[in-house]
Amino acid sequence: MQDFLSEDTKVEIVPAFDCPTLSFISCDYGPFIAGMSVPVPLWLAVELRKQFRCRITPPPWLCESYLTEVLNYEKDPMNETFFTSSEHPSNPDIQLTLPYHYQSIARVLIDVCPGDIERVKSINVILQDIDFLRNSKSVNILKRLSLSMDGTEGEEVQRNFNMRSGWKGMEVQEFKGVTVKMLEGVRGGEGEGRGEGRGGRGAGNDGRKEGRRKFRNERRREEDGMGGDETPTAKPGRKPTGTPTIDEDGLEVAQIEEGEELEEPTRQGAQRLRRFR
Amino acid sequence: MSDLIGEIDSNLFGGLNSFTQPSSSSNNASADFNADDDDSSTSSNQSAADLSGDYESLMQAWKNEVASPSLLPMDEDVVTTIILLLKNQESLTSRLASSVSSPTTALQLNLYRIELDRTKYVLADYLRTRIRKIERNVMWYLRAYPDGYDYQPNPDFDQHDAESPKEIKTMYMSDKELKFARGYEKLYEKHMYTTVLQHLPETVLDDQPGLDFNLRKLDDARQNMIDGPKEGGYVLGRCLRNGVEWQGEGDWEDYKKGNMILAIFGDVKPMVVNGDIELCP
Repeated sequence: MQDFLSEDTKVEIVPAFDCPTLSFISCDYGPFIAGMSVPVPLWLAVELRKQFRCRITPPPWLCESYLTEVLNYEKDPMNETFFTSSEHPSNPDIQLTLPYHYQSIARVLIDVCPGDIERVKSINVILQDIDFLRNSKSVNILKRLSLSMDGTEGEEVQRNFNMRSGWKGMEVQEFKGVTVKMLEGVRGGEGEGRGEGRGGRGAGNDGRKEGRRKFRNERRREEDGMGGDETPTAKPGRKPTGTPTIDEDGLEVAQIEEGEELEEPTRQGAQRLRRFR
Repeated sequence: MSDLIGEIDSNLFGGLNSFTQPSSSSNNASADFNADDDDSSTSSNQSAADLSGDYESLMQAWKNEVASPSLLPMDEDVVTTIILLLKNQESLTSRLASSVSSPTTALQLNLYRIELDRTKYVLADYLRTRIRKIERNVMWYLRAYPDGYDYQPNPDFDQHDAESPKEIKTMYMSDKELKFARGYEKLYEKHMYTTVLQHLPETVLDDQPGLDFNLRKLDDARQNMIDGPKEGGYVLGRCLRNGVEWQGEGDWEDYKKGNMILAIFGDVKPMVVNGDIELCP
């Protein structure tokens, strides 16, 4: 769905044909004059490009220097939140942000017109790295969220959170389901389709464990669904105090420390992370 | 400050607000191209033609409807205008199809068809989502909005002003949806009766007189079996403007434009209806 929504964003193209202004339902586009740049929505640009009737000018954020800057920001373990904005590569007066649907747009543009983008292969790699880092940051955010709710359950759980995470399109799609289910588990299931009520949750730990187990399961299920994507598996839910104990899944639950770095949950994940250190 | 800049759904050319105002609804939205104002000093200074107001409203309504667990009020104007636009566009394309002269015309036809498909898909999914929600809790919706409208007391009601309405009504179900709901409810009740209810004793006598209840009535006063939509779950939303007034329970931070909010749907609903918060599907 994010791909569909992203197709409304505007891209600059240079058409290779002449055509008067076209009136669409959403907007009028044109006139198309061969050789002159014109902004059109992404779906239009992709369609024209597939028929070799235009050349797509890559958007200013889809360049190696800008994306490397983003990557460096995300790599830095001091920066907990996501990259927000920085100067336009060619015009320092303008602030450039990574658009909301940047993953979808980048994927489409790289698929359809790799020749129009400079240094496509390295851009591809950088984008994958950025995705991976943002993913692990998101997992940490969610864990911190779940820990911050320790001690509360049911009605006491906070009713609204300011997600300072800066999630973009694909991350929203991925993490929204998990977050919502986790919160429902902690809160006691008044939400959609989980009308078991407070009685079913029992007292004390059960609700939280339920929530965390659901969180873990959701993460695992989503990983399977995503195929070869190397997202880190969530470590089993952590109790903030107490000695290491064996969780019900037979996994060791350790104490969380202040200022912990990004985790290395899987071997693949660890190898990738070692590249950055 | 970082939230502000980071979350705004910017166009591809950075945070420049060079959009023109969205055009009002008309059969074919005029291009808001300020070709004269275009500085071609940098590529990011282009003022892109903004999408027509109706199309934007439809997309917004669709996103909200998909993401929310209960039925949201419907703006019938938007739907009827979009249907009209679709019809016009279809007749345009069929006329074009019958007189294809050059490759350019064939190209135009292709593009028109693609856009038509896209808009039809959004509209159809929007209406389908609404129908699905109605089907889930038919009996509740028909009792909450018996004529399709929800009536709320008008806070600005002035007794002495003849024109001020006593109640504000918002449309939750259009005429057609209402008709569908009524028909569906009849079928549902009949189904419930033939499968379960007719096998139950009709009246259950209670010790205290006057407290007998009718097992066969689903909405009996003593044991209302009708469930409403569950608005207690969390939803993810984005703030669309600064200084949103909080109208629900619990503490509320001062959310700025572009902030992402994870909140309980029941709390956030009035703001979604207002258009202050958009939900992320």
